[in-house]
Amino acid sequence: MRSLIGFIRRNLRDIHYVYNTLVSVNFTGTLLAIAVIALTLTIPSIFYVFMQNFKESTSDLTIGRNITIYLKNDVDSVVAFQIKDDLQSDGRIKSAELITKDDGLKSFASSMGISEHEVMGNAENPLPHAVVLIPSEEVEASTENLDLLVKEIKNNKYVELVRVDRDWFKKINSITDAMRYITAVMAAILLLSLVFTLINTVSNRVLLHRNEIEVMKLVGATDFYIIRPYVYLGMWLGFLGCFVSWWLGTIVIFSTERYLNHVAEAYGTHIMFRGLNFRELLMMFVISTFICMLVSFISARSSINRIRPQ
Amino acid sequence: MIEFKSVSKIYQQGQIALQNISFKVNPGEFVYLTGHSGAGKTSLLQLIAVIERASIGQILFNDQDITDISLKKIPFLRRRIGMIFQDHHLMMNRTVAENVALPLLIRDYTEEESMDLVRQVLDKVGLRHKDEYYPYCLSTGEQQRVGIARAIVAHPDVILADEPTGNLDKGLSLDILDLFEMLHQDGTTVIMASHDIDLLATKPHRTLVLNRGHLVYDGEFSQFR
Ligand SMILES: Nc1ncnc2c1ncn2[C@@H]1O[C@H](COP(=O)(O)OP(=O)(O)OP(=O)(O)O)[C@@H](O)[C@H]1O
Ligand SMILES: [Mg+2]
Repeated sequence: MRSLIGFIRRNLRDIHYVYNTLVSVNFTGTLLAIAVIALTLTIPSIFYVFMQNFKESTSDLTIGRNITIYLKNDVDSVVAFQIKDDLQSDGRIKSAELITKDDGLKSFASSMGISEHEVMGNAENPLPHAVVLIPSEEVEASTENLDLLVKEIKNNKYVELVRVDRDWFKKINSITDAMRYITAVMAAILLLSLVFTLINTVSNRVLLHRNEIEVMKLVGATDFYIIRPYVYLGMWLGFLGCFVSWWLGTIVIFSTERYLNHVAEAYGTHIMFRGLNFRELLMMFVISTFICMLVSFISARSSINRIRPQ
Repeated sequence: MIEFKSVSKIYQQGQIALQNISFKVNPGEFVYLTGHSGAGKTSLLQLIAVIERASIGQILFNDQDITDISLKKIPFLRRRIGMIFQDHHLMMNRTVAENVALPLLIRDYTEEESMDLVRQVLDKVGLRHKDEYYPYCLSTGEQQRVGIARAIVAHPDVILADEPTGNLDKGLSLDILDLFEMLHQDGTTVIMASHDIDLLATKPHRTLVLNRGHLVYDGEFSQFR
């Protein structure tokens, strides 16, 4: 218990020391570091949120995402039902719907605004039975899986023709792919700038305290003892940077939402954006704090190592 | 306690500071190190605290070879040594009390524990009333005494004092010498470098005399005179 209190006291003392000697000494440097960390986190997280919302909103749109299977003309309705049931029980397929010859004719006629009889007279209905499929999300997300599914269906001897609205799949996939790619590239560049800014901040401060560090080494302080305040500095920078980024991201996301709703209102709809949830936010804080601590530790260790007292 | 075996120190620029030095200091001994300016007194003390490394020869500390001691172990060696520097090496942005407390804080003493000990040693060097001052507000002699307080606060096995009385008047110098004498009585090994022969004469001890990097005398103070 006593050692725990001692431990907390020491840490409080360290935090006080970090503020007095590391933060307040070069306040603009501190602000710059926080700004870079905040930017590093904000841009990828905004992209992430947009992507997440984009995915969610497109998953409601089922129009045009279906696969239409036209069966051969001589297939009777019993076999057609059997085929539909088989497809429905396939895990890769979300739903399957049979559109019989008669249904097809009816909807064709009604779309023309005339009766079925007027279309065909006494001739036989030339339309085939058709099955309309909606693939599962996994299949929909990958072109390869979709191709595989289509190929399998084509091999069925009752199937005449399979039509996929590929353009739609491709568009959705390429948009999310591009967004993911841009996010990754930007995150990498920003992370690099964060690492350099942090290394610069920490090693500057080590140099600023060169004399003090020499004295500490002379009286027998271990490197770990000397490094500790700089790791605290990194921890605080990471935490504060993340905090700023959280607010910055929230402002950007919700102002975008408001802007989009001006447009959406004209179409009589409303858009609801979802920000980061608690788990994602917590992860962002943990990652940011950890990375900054790690970079500070490495940077402080190497610059402190180079200081040799005379 | 400390043993030099044919030690030489040659600095990077080629200056030969110490040449073929051999001697042994036993635990609890009080030894003076004297010689003209540039004779190598500071260099010798720096080799013991591994602030510099020997170029040739071997140095033992408590029978442990410290000639090639690893960087990781140096802090723990230095904690057994209380070193008083010629240019005192104080932290200018910390108070006298904080400076003196440093050796305790790095040993993870709590604030209260260390402050008690700090007040005691500041009493001994006559600076109790200036514990909240910053070193730049002190005279050189006072700064020197802060350095002495810091060296003895954690009860090291050995005290290496490099011109500890360099900036002090006669009276204060004698007080400091008395202080070392007391620590010596308590069993601490003391090695004190000084060129003030008159001061050393007031309390004669074994004396090592350096001349241009050579050890030219090792024996009783009275005979060296
Ligand atoms: N860091 C160094 N680099 C190069 N040469 C050095 C260094 N330190 C000391 N020397 C040289 O080593 C020799 C011994 O110096 P040292 O400081 O040990 O003498 P000293 O006896 O302590 O003198 P003083 O009484 O003036 O303090 C001198 O000639 C000096 O020029
Ligand atoms: Mg000297």
